[in-house]
Amino acid sequence: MNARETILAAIKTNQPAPVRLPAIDHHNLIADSADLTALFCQNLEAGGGSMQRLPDMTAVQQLINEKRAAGGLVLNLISQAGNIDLIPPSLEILDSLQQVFIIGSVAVAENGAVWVTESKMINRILPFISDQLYLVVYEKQLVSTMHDAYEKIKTDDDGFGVFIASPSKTADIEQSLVIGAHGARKLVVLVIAK
Amino acid sequence: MKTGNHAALAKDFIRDEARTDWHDETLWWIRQKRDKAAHNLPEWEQLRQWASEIKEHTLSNLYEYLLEFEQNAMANGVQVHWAADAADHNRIIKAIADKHRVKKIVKSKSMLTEECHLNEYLESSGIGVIDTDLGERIVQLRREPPSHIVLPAIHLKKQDVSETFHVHLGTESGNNDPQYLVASARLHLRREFLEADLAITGVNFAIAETGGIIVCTNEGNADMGAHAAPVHIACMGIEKIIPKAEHLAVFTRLLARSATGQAITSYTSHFHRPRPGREMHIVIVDNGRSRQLGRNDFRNSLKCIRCAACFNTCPVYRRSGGHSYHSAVAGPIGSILNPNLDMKANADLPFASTLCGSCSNVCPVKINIHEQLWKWRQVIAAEGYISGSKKTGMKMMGYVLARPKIYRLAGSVARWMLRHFSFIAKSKKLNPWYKQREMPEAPEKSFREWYLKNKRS
Repeated sequence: MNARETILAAIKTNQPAPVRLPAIDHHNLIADSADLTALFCQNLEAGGGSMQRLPDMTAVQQLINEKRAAGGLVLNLISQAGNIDLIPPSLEILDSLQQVFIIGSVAVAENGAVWVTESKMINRILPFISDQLYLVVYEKQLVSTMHDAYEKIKTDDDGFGVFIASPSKTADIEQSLVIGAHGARKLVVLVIAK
Repeated sequence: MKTGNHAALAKDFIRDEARTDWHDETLWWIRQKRDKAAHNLPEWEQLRQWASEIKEHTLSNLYEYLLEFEQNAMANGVQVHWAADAADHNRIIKAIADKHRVKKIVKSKSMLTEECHLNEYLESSGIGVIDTDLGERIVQLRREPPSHIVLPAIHLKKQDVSETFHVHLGTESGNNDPQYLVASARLHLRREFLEADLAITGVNFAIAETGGIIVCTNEGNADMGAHAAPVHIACMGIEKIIPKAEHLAVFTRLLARSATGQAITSYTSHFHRPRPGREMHIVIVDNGRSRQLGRNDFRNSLKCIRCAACFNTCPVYRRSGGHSYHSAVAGPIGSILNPNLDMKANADLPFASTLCGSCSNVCPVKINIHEQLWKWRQVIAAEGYISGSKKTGMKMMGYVLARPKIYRLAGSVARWMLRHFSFIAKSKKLNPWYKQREMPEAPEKSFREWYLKNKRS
């Protein structure tokens, strides 16, 4: 027998009698928060990120233009906020990426996390390799908990998807929290009113 | 990996009293952060119950779920491999590396690859492995194993890290500023990420329904590795499976809160398909897990999600350090997992506990850790893997406790001895209990004598 058959045969022999799967009836258990945006902001800040409210995508476009004027490499990947930039193919160039703007589809109030998928980030490494990460979400996409979030998304719609809740950070040196381990050193979530 | 038994290795650790106190307080502080996060959620106990039931259900249908997972992962374009043991696991990874002529691998945290001693294996065949989790990189440079599964360098102070980085990365001597040290490591590891030919990650959860794997990090190192390198290998134990994506809500809510008191990790990455033109592999490893599945008393240990809450709360772990457990997974959970891997080599571990039960109380998936520790002690004694002195001591104690008259006599003799010949009790050779402890004042009479005299009044 090969390893696969050996393992599966041992599991089949050793697994106990079936135990029922619980229903995750979270709607009866968890009350929705009154002010999701305030809670989202509070939890995002607790993790080291920050939130900015903007009226519409035009304001996002203005912000992108301001960042471009500063001269560094900036990539906009949000079609509602202007033209989508071509992504340089080389990792060496991307290593100097200053800011990247990506749209998320769900934001979670209980922990400040934003769901971002491959089709919106185009190249999977961008949210991580960029020095600063700007995620954009519409206010109406805020949900209360991770239960609500997983109800809204389909995890395998894209080849890759990620909840991002803070800038890259570590506390591996004597439990001192340091922002900017390997990934983005700054996370800003832009919440669009409409 | 250190060898020797827990008590002997712990003796080394506690020689530095100030550092032992610091280690104890640091971990307790993390335990308190966990408490704060847990108390913030009124539904916490329901979440633990759900997590426990989902895992129990999955273990009871593991055969079916593994097949479902494999089928879906393959349909997603992922190559799936099966490894019966550590040697199999290492050979599979080496074969993939050889196929791509890999010279340099970046690896994010995976306790499974530690369990299989993958780094040593690959390095002995000329392939360099860089651990990219900062704590793991620190201990790798020092040629030490991690001392904690979530906080690999928790036993080190910033001065130690500064010295290590000065020697290996050329940082300023004596600069102990964590900000500076992390920035230096970031520059060093950024080069490694950009140059690596292959990335290895662990797996926190694998979804049967979709064939996807989930990796949780705060540093983003798993993502930097997996998205930069042309090939990604994810290594998982058979017990990482959960049935559906909706169950991730339960586990992601529990994991980081239990581990460090955060509401969620910075990154919760869901890998389903390789990037166009790239390769993704998943190695499913047994290495004794299917045997543990068949042990009624110990099966529940496979529910573990590796949060390390049981480490942080354990009075023995906090005051003996992870290296005393001489295993990839230390702490209370390691002490019930490792005897399954090698009962003789790990016979000491179930005894490295006070059985206080704090581990079971904080466990997010409700593993009865302290009861399993107690049960392992009996299995290990029955198999003859305990020391002669412990066996004799236990036999004598059993004899005395079963005979009330002898017990009373022994008690009064002991009290008399303690009053008149206390130097005997204070001899560390004759009485190991006296090590690091003070003996109590011997009372004049036993409780029984006091009770018989006073009960009528």
